[in-house]
Amino acid sequence: MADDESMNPLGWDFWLGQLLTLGAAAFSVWLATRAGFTEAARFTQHQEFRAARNVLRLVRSDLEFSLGELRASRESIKTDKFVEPELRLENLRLATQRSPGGVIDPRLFAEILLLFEPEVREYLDTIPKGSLREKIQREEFGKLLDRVFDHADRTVMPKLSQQEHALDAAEARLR
Amino acid sequence: MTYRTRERLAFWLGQAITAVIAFATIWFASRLGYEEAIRYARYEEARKTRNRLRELDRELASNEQAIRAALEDWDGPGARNVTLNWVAYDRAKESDEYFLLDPQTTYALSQAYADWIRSAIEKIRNRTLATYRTHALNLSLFRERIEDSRPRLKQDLDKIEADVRRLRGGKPEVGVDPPEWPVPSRPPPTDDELAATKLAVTPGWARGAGGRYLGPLEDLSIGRHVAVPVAPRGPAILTWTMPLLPDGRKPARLWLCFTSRAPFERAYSARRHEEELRKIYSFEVPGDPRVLNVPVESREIDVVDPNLPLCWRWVYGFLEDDAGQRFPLSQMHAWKVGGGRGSSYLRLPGPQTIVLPVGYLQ
Repeated sequence: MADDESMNPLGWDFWLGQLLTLGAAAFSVWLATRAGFTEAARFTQHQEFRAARNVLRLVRSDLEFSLGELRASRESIKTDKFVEPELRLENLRLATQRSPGGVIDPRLFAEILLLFEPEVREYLDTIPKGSLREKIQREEFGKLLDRVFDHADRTVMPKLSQQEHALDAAEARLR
Repeated sequence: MTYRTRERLAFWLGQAITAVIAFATIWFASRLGYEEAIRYARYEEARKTRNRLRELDRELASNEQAIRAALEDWDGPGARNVTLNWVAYDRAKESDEYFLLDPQTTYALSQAYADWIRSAIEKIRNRTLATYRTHALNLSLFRERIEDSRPRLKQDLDKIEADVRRLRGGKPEVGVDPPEWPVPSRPPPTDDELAATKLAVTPGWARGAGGRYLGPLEDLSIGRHVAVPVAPRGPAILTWTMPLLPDGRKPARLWLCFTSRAPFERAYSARRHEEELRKIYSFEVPGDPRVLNVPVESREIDVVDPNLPLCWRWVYGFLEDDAGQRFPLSQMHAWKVGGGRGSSYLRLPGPQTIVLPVGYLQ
């Protein structure tokens, strides 16, 4: 009898094994769904930061180009051969409309646009060609550009870099 | 039952149970997966709503700062080039998340982004008016709309942040802090301004509204009878168009009411709005009104406020004659103190100047 019991394939160890299998399966499924949620949320945030970083890349390219043009124009005023600058602001305006909400400070875009509009744009649109007034207006334009460069170097560019670094750091933490 | 039979039974039972476990696991996974998908969808919804609110709050903060810079000095660079942004609001209105906001919040936002201010900003940019006075009144009203809407927005933001945390199971989120913008410093006072702060205070100022006014009323409008300062850093000179008194009457008392909010925002007619006008004449207006009055003998006076900075945002007042009738001070201005031709908003104290007390609003 003792031998029969010890050789019983349907003993307590059989049922315990089945129960453990059922428990392990249920726990695995639960863990997978929880982990799946966390990873999905992390991935979404990572993509959002990447999208914001791409926006800032484009904004910086427009900003650096336009500032470069204005600096060349400023130099040309000193040599009295005025070079009219070309401003590229389309990507900046697009970024303002389409950047991921709540990630990039909208004031950054506002401050960047303010470097070029409305004052600089007004001068470029209204300086008449070939008159005495033009020379005086160019000198005034030069003073305006000096203020623009000062604000860009002291405030706008550092804040743009700060935002870029913050996004890079956040993206790195999520990888 | 032989051992072999039991073994076969155990084998097939094990297979059957494995199959049941497999089916049960798939069923359990699909149910749990469905619930987690719903939880994730709610989390995304809350997160996007939270991001929209953050964007709106930051845009309002940026607009508030631009208005503050514009109102800091009507001659300043911020005044004519004031730039306000509507991008976040226009995007929020197009989004599905807008419908998840509290209706009171959406109402406050519609006030903070009202269409009339867009056209007012266009007029500022196009320099349609020679004087900045009307623009300053509009910007001051707009600033109040923003100041009213931001606490509501923050309340909703806190609620939604709590929802996002709860749906994430309490796990912290990786965030990106916005950059901190420098606060522009105020220029030091000029010699004329310093001299104005040292003027002797006129004796006889009394505080208090003095009870309900029951005398005759005249039409009032914010455009003509209320002033905001040219430069809130102070000091300021208050002037107005001399009210005409009836024959035989003499000026007796000057009443000035200083408030932190617009005392009234529209025009009132003496024929149709008697109750509202009585309240305004009696200084029962919003914005924590501080009323000062002083006996006067002449109509042609101006008032110097020597405080640095000024403790008020709006001012209106009346000249009371010896019969107790109050005449509204119209075309009120709160000029900067100074001489020279560098600005059209400078005044120097005249021969008949009365000086407010320092710290009168404390």
